[in-house]
Amino acid sequence: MKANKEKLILFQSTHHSIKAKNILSNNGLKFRTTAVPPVISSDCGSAISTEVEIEVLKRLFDKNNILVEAIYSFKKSNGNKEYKKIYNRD
Amino acid sequence: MIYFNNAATTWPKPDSVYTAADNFFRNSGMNPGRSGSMEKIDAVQLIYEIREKVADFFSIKNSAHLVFNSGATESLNTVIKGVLKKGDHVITSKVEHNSVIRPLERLIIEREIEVDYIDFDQKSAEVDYKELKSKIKDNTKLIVISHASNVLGTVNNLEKIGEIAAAENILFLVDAAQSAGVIPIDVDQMKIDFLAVPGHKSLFGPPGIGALYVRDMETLLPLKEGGTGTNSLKTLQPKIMPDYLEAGTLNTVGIIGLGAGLDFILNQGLKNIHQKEMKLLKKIIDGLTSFPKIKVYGKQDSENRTAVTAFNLDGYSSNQLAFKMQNEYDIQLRGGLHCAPLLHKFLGTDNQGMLRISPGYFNTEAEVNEFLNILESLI
Repeated sequence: MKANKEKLILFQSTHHSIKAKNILSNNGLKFRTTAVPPVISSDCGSAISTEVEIEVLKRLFDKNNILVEAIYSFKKSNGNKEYKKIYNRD
Repeated sequence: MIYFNNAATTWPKPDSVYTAADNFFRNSGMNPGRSGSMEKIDAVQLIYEIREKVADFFSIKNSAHLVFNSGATESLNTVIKGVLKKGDHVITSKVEHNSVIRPLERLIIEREIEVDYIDFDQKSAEVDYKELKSKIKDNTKLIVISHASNVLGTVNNLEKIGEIAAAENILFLVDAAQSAGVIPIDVDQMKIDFLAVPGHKSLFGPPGIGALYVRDMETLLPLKEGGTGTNSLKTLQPKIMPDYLEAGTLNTVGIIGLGAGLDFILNQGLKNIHQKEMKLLKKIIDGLTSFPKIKVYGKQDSENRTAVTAFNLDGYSSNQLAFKMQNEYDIQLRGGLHCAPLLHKFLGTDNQGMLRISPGYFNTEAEVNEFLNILESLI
């Protein structure tokens, strides 16, 4: 199994996901837009996948009032991705 | 880009819609009736004519009963929140969109109303008319039904429901979001009390415009109150239609665009438009059903329906496939739950969702072929 620095971030609404993308771009940070995996949710909207450190993300999101729904780490196992929730909005 | 999401909003619009909106906006974007001077283009006259045209389209005899607003969602909220009082009972269905469900659920909390969501037949996807009738009781105030499902495309028999409602003196609200501009609607023949119409779907208007027909304004309080350009000394909303339900600045550019869209439909012929869309839909359904790994939901024949269907491909969630289609092939479909949570719960697809495809008048057979070929390559 390969350990992965990549994290999957879900936001509380489209507004917040767009805002997050803008903030990350403005700060020169790399990310990918990705579909929300079915094991997590069937709801509309996209997620962000990024290797940026959690502390950096937290600082940026807090500073900019970006509301995160959840953050997942994942690892690839037998070709499948296994997700582990590492942050949940309270 | 191949756009197969016309159930959400139609795209492109007829050229005449862009031209009419731009021309009006550029030369006379002012409020009808509020300026004292002569306008280059008479907005008041234009809006009156379009109101008459839209009213006529739905066989509404008095066009004052047709109000303009921001869309079907506003229309549905206007009726639901304007009609219902504490303790009222509502009958609606599991096919409904969140623009019906959410206002009702809000009123369950705020005004202690009761709501029955009736089942639909899985094969025909029409509401269970027997169950509807059986749910009627003394405090039933309103029946709210979609003319056509935004997920499965199947059409309910409004005349049947109108009869049931009228016999029991119950108000009948129709959500015509998916059927206005597709299936002929006659508010008198169908005994409809309220008709919610979006301007930006099959009527080819811009987003942000819609209409509401109200048979009797005494049956509801307004959702919003404010300036009407008349009766300014009166500090209560004037009890005259359409002013009663048209507070504030109208989306005049939207109305002009809607008028041009309606002209387009009348010129092309409603039947011709529907025929072409059905031809494309049949090709899509035939293609989808030929693939063993694909499940098509709802009925598969092209009788009595709108150009909407939904499916799933084994091994993909609907959102994953929609994402892939959009990002890798530039084909716009709609995955997920389509704001119809009860429908998906009823069919057991609330985890997977469905991939909805809704071709429109401006799509081509070549586009359908390309889509089916791409789908085949993924199987």
